[in-house]
Amino acid sequence: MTTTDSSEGSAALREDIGGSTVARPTAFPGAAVAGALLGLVLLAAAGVLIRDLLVRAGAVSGDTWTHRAAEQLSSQTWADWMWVIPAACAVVGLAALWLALKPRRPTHRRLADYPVAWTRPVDLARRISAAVSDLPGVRDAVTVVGRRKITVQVTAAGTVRRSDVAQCAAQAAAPVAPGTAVKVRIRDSRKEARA
Amino acid sequence: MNRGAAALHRLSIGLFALICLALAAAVILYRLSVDPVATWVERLDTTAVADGIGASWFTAVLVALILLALYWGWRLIRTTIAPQKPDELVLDGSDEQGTLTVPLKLVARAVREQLATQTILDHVQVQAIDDRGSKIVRITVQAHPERSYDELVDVLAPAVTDLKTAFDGSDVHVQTFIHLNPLH
Repeated sequence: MTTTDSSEGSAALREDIGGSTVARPTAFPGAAVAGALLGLVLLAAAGVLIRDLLVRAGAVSGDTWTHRAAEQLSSQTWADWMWVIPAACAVVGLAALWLALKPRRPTHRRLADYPVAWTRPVDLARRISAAVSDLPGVRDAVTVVGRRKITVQVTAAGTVRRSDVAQCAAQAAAPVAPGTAVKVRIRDSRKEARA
Repeated sequence: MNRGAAALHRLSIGLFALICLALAAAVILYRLSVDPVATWVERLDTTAVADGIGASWFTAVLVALILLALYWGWRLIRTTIAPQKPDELVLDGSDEQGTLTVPLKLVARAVREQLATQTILDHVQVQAIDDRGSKIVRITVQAHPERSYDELVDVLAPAVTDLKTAFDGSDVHVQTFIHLNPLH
């Protein structure tokens, strides 16, 4: 494994080209997917209205669907099952309102020393797991990167010191999350095998 | 997705949400006989509405609704499919006599070819995007997690330096995404 942390030649990533501020990388807004679905609904509605227009022009035989729907609506009488309609409208409306207002989820974290370099929390977790797995006595490592805490779960095949794991994890995390608290859990695979 | 496209989607979904909520509130308040909503709904002449839809002048309304639905629906779908379409970059030195432009897609291809020679990178993707008003050359690299971030930054540095030299003084931005493979 190579773990040389030289920073030679990396000065280029310490500043951006343009002077203006770039927004943080974020996920697709939730409203975008719902917006696309709404777009499809609007195109389908346009198709229905075009059919009605053709009926009015005499190109297609039959009654217009909009007129028939309005007539049926005006002759409807209330039934108990119809409570489902306002309930469904309320649920869909609240969900759509949440999607419209929901802020975009940030997808990447900036590298501390390189403002133009970004990585995902899952990549940081993989990096820490790889570094910790290289320690003597470590059989396997699983890392979870949270906002304020990094949790490393080590499966040991020999003697592993908690402080060594914590130090190794902190070093691996330093380029992205310097100073973040590291919590270490060690499981002994030999004890588990005996049990 | 750009700000304009995101705003279009948010406003469209917000409007749809308000219509749904207004409809739900109107029906519930009407059924519970809560004034003044119950009185407003009572005043609605649904027969007149049906007659209006059957009238000849409604053809013009139909045409207007069709055009609105087609345009709105097409805009919503198009901005979802191509949300970050890049523009050509206008370089310094452009004036009334002529405009110097660079297609960002070509720049992205050149950077990708340059980084493809780096053996420690498993995958390289370079995109020219327009993200929320910023023109960005986004370099995404995939590597083994045994490689440190500083190593990968060193590998990316020459390509970023070349971009800086090429676009010095312009408002183009560079963004590098470092992704790591799952650990086996």
